[in-house]
Amino acid sequence: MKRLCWVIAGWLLISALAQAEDAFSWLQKMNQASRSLSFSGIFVYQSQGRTESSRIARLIDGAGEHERLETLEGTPREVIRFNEDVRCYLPAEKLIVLDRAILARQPGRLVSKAAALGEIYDAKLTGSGRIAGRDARIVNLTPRDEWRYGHELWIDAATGLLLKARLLTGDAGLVEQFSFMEMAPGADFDHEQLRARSSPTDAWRVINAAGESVSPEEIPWVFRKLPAGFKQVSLVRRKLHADGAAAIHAAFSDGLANVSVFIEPTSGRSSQNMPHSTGAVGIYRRLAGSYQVTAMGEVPVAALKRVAEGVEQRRK
Amino acid sequence: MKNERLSAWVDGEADEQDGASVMRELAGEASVRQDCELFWLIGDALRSPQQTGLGVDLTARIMDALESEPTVLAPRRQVLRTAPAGKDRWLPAAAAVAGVAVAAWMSFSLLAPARQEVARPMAVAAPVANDPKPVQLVVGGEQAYYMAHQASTIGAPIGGVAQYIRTVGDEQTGMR
Amino acid sequence: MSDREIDQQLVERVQRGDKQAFGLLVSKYQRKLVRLLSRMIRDPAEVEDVAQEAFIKAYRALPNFRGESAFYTWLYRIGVNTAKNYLVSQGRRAPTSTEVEAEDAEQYESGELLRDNDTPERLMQTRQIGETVNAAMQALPEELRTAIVLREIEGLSYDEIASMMDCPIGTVRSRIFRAREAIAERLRPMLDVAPDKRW
Repeated sequence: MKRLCWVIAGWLLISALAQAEDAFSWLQKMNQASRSLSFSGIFVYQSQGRTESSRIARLIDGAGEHERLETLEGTPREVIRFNEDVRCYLPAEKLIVLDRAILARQPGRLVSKAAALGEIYDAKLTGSGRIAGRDARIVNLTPRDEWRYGHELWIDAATGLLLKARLLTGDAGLVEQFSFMEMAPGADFDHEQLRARSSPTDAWRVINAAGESVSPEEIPWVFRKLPAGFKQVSLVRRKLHADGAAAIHAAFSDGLANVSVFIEPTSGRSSQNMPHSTGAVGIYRRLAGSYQVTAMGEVPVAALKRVAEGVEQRRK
Repeated sequence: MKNERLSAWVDGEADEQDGASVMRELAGEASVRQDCELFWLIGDALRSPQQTGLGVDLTARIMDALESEPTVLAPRRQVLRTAPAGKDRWLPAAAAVAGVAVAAWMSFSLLAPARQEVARPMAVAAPVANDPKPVQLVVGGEQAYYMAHQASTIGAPIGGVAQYIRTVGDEQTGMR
Repeated sequence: MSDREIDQQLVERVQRGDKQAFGLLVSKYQRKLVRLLSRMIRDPAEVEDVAQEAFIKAYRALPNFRGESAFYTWLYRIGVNTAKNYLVSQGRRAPTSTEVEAEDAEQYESGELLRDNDTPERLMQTRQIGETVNAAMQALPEELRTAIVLREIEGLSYDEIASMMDCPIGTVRSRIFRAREAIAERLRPMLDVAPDKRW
């Protein structure tokens, strides 16, 4: 009887491992697809009772990645990306925002090592489903601690493209969801479809929001309380207010979740400690001497609080 | 340099004088014509991801066929010279109005009030011609942070521009 | 001088009897026209014949071209009509007007792209050109690649590119030119024009 128990336990362990391995091989496939496949489609974004559909096209060619997002409700707002260069066209504000994203050309957009991700998330291939007329495999990533949300990812069985992504709280509450209604893999469209359709007039303003990189030694701050698995992915100095000094913006990622920390002189601005969140993106703000620290990200507010409180001035 | 001038001309970026020289060279030198064709071909190749039809070259064949055609002659008339349709559309207003050739690069802050908008003109100092409205940024003025955060979300499963929907979405930009 | 002004200048030259200027318009727009026609006619040899016919019609009609619309918009209409007439003459159904004309010729000629219906030798040439351009792009220094992509693919003006790349406009001009030269260098041997093909 005892032996049988061992056998069953062993079998359970092996099948759990196999399950995780399956899950990771799908994640790798998804990761690969996200870096190499062109597609176009329409997706619906849902968060806190808000629903919005958008058209998206991504083209990958010899020059790199080209992307265009266009909202389908209200006045069309567009986001255009060529590799790191991002342009947001906001007609209501008559505004074009230029920025440099750090997401492109990074090896392993999702995560470089499955093992590292496995330490912080429990990954399981939980089933199959059908969405946007396509067969999908469903991978669930459950966090092993309370510092991040869970993910339910629907991955296209044929191509590895992500068809649906649900961000879930510990009790399976939905934080946000991206869900494709239409998905056409391949570059069945022309470059001209990736161009901005907005017709800005002279009254539009162009804002360059891109920051300049700084090295960790250049800043007098250290980040002491990052939850396990979070690594710094960028450190820039950027101006967030016309009248204020530049802020330090540090970005961290655990491979799936992202946290930004902004540190700037208060310069008389009132600062609130009130944590809150808009959709999936939470925000927590505190004062550190004459500086304001803002932590922001798609993680529970408790994690933001921890990160913000861990920001300390380096001792000389 | 001759070919650099040609390259700018191909882009519609040569001034009148350079344009006139390019036209003369195109008329007189086969090698300039070939370079020009090559530049156009490169543009088509870059714009056409599936590359269909790139190998087509009908020019010689059509020019042969035109040998027997009578030469076209049209009476000279005043032709419409319209402003470029879209290219200069979003030159900063100041540069356009002041006739400044180099776009003065305005480094605005997202939360800039109207009067403080001209922060650091980089190339040429140009006065603000219009009186742009202050930017209404929502989410309690947090949008600058959201934008910056969104640009740094390297890991998210839904990568690339899709996640910008969180920032440029209907409610965020007050479209409803 | 904008792109449209360039075309207008070439048109005026043709109108003054300069056939060569028409050759430049053919070089510039032939691929775009062929791609448009390929959506109406499947056979690649037929597409080329119809394209040739359309260009010749355009040449004949050019004295009446007044520059109210862009040259390509005008050529596009001639191309669509020539293709429709051709299909009708072959007893085939021409696409309904909404299928083709709903698109704004100047906006974008998108939609479904044709697949593998080049003639075999064209297909070979097409593939070689595509591969050569891609390889050349990959070998370009970053700032040259970005500059040419922003120009050719994203369609930005030199002013806009200068803003984005945070450099003077003269640098943009020179980067784009250097990118083109580097790519052209690799294409020239492939496209070495035979003497009988010169015009």
